[in-house]
Amino acid sequence: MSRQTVIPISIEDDTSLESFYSKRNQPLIEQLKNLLVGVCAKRVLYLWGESGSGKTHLLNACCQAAGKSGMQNLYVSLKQDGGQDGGRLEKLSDVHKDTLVCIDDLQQIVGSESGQNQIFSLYEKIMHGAGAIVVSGTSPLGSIGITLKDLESRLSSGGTFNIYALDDDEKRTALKLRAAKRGFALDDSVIRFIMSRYQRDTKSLFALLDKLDSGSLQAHRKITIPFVKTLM
Amino acid sequence: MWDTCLQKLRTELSSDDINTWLMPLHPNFNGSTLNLLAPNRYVLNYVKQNLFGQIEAAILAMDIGIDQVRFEIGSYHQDHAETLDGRPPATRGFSFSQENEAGALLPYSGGVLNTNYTFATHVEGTSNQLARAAALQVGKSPGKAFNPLFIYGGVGLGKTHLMQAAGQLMLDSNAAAKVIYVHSELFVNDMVKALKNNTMNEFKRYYRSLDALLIDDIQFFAKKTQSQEEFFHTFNALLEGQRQIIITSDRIPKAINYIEERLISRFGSGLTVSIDPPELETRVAILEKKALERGVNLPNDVAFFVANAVHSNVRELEGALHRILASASFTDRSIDIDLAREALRDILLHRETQISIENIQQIVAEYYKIRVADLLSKNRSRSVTRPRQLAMSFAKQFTNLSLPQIGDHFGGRDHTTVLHACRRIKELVQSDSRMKEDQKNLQRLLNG
Repeated sequence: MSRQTVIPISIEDDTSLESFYSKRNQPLIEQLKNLLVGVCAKRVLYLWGESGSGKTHLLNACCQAAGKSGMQNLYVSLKQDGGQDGGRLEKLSDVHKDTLVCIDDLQQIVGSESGQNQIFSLYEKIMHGAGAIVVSGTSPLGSIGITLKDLESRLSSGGTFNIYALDDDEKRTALKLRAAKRGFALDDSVIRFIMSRYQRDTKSLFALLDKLDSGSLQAHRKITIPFVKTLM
Repeated sequence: MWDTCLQKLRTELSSDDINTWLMPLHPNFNGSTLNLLAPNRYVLNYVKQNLFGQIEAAILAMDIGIDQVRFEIGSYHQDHAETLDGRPPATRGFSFSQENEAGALLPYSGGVLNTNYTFATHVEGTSNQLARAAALQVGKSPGKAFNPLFIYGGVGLGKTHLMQAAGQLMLDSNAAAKVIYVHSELFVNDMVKALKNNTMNEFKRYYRSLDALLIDDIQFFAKKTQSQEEFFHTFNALLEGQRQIIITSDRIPKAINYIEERLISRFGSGLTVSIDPPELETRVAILEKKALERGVNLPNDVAFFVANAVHSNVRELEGALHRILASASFTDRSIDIDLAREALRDILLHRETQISIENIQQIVAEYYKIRVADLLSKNRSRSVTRPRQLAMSFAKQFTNLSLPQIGDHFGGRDHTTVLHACRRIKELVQSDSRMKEDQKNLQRLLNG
């Protein structure tokens, strides 16, 4: 049987604060919403969590929400800089003081004095304007290894939030929701199979979902356990 | 009037709309115009696009002589500094956003005095008493009392607060005074821009025409020789004109590296005062005051718990409080130690891995109200030896240091002294209820 050619139109998962599925992270989500509408005591927030806990999703969601209402916003992943100074960080010096700046992967600039100075400088500028800063990292601020203590204390002043990783039940629900959004249903037995045999971090699970989506279209197959096996 | 309008709108709009979008607005009545100041563009655009019609209709229906409603981003002004309601800081003196957007009046970064930073909102303790007194004096008699006033201390201890409080006081007695606050980093940025744009003369004129210059974190001038040069001339011009200069830094002038000698010696030519980390009681007072400013009555045991968990500086203390208040608000729970422990688990986690011999010495010394230096000294009076022995036994319990290493950390004592201390404490805990209590309390403090 010939394989179906799949037109590469993928459904982007909704990058919004509302679509961040986790009840335990609700205080953080509410705090981010408050930050966006300017009712937080401080216009800075630090959030941390292990890889795949949803830091990038949240930061992008903040930018998206800000953008929808016409607020200037900027998402910067320090990872894409390869931990090097300059490049992306250089752009921070041109940021307008009323911008919402979301900085991902703070741990990448641990060894960079000038990187830390650039973020410090950005902080001072934004605090003189009406913008806000949201920063993420993989560990608590106190143990991430920032050597510029002025920066560390400033970033901590609005509160630091740990992102709770999804537990298995929440991952199952998230998989179902995302599958439904793509227009197919995931049977409970399939989800159980995936959860017991595949890597269970959200990044890998959601990537598998994309593979299942295009794979089932190409092969004209329903998503069953035998079919999932062929793609794992 | 705005409150009445809000009441009226409550019948038409959802409570979410009111709380999320309308509560952050600040009204400013100007003749027949109502200016509604939004904290940022996000709120401004949403309200303009979605709620403008209802607001305008409600205002016009009230028939109070308002015929126009306008929206702006503010930076609003308020006459008193007591409120801390979570909006961007209210500013005073030269309003940065307004003048700057208008163009010429304020082309540089300085200028914003945060009206939340006053002496009324500052918590006094033994750690900052002298600095506070000096700032107060300078605020009352600018250019005369101590010039320059150099305030130094670790990060997040309130240097900026005190320097701005002095500035506020200057404005209280002379509202027209040009009192400018600028962070060193932004001073440097401004200068770089001025050089790029060929506007150095304006830059010089601007900074040299001030009545008072409050310059924060001067250590950021390190290695920036051209900025130092310019600042040196500005500094001299202001001092000669008997204009007040207040400088802050994270260390004493002599210890600032990569700054020219001539500047260092001038920094120290007025009065140099330090701010130390706040002691436990002050930390508790700060927490209770900050919570009250946000309309929350923080239980005393929670305040003590947080103050024990966060030693280092006021900024982190504030961050911890925000975290707890956010958790309490969103989970609808009352604030107690369990909630605080949950909310601050990352700080506590960090702390667990952070129990160092220095922490132990600091906490034990603080508990017994002696100095860390006493613990390391040769003093053999009982009031010092008992805390010293206790600190040694904690060092053995909580760190991986060997007995000789622990002895070294206590003024070069022998390892047998450490061994004796550990045995003695073990005996005392069994026989002396007071010692048992002290050990228990300290253990709790060390574990956060």
